[in-house]
Amino acid sequence: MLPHLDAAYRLARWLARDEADAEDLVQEAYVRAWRFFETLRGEDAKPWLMRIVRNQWFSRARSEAGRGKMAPFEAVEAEAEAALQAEMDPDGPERRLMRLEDQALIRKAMADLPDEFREVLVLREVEDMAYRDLAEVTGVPIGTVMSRLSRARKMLGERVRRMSEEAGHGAF
Amino acid sequence: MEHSEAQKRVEAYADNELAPGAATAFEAHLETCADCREQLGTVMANRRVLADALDPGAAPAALRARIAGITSASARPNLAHRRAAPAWWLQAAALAGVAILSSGATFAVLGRQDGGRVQTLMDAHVRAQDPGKAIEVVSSDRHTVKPWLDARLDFAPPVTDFAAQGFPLLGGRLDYVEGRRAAVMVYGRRKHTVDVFVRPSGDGPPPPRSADRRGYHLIGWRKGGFDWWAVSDVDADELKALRQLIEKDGADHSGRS
Ligand SMILES: [Zn+2]
Repeated sequence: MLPHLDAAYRLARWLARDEADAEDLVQEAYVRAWRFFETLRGEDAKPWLMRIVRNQWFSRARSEAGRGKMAPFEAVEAEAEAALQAEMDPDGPERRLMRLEDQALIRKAMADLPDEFREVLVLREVEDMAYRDLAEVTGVPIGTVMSRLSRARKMLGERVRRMSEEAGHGAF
Repeated sequence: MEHSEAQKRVEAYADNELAPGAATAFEAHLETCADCREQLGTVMANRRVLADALDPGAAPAALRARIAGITSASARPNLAHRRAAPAWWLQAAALAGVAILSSGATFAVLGRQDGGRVQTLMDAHVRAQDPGKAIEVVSSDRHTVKPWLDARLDFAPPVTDFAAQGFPLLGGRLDYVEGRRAAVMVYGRRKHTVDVFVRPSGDGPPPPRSADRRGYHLIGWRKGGFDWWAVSDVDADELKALRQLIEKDGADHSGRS
């Protein structure tokens, strides 16, 4: 019954960052999906369902952010890129070792990342979805998925490190 | 593999996304390079931490029960029962230049045998005006649309772009006709869209030849082992023009695979 619901919920939680909004999002997506397909079973259905969840989120976010005036992700990404440049070398190696005891910090840092970064991180790290499935969900080419995921990981690692230092956990 | 090459592949390797040959070459480099080994260790360790830290847990039981209740109580709802559309829906539909049916609008009850199917197809066209639903694969390139459809169907629908003839291919999606999967090619016609449904001809009756309901037109035909329906709010004559293009294209391609 209701295949992929947990996965859809986890994605919605990280997109909406709010329990009630996430539940609304998942419910809308399932009701919508239900109208068009008799069965949602099978691994094929997973990226498709996740795509409905995220499209629903982005169209809602866009209409709320000033009737279509929200900056396109290219602009957001460029800004994130600039921030990353200031923080660290974006093409440099990932050397920040995250620790399990920093879970709360990690979640806080994650919540501050741009939508499109949270999206690829949860799909990859929690759902363990392949690059081609990420491309299908997000609607961008695999090359973009790879660079976006890499940026997202570095930015998250860097932010966790900074927050950890500020919180007096000491250097990594 | 050079160190600089290997650096670029650390994450793909950790994600198990390198092709077998590339993975072997990467592993050979790892043997010789402590730097890459360290980096790979970090990426993999971080992945393990993130898998835990970013997991909000399973969907709450109450949510599961609520959705199960909705989806089992209502079979696929028809247009008449659709709730008032949210603002963004209206906006997107308007942007797409689509006639918006007020909630509660319904097509005339049909007495003919084909009535149910005509209704189904027209409903499908209308409800497909939902954003994110009308076109699941957005591309004017048949080399993108066709593989997308082929991968999801147990038949290979013919897909052709007729941009030069005034019907640009906008993309495709999947839908159901009488409980069986059909491919839908979406064509543009000025500011309107035309949905072309196609599926292999079964044992059933041939498609209805034409129908008109409340400003929507449908034409159907059977050709080349497929049943076809074109649905839109453009003129019926324009649908016939599109049908001719499709039939001619089919004839041009017959004999080739
Ligand atoms: Zn190396």
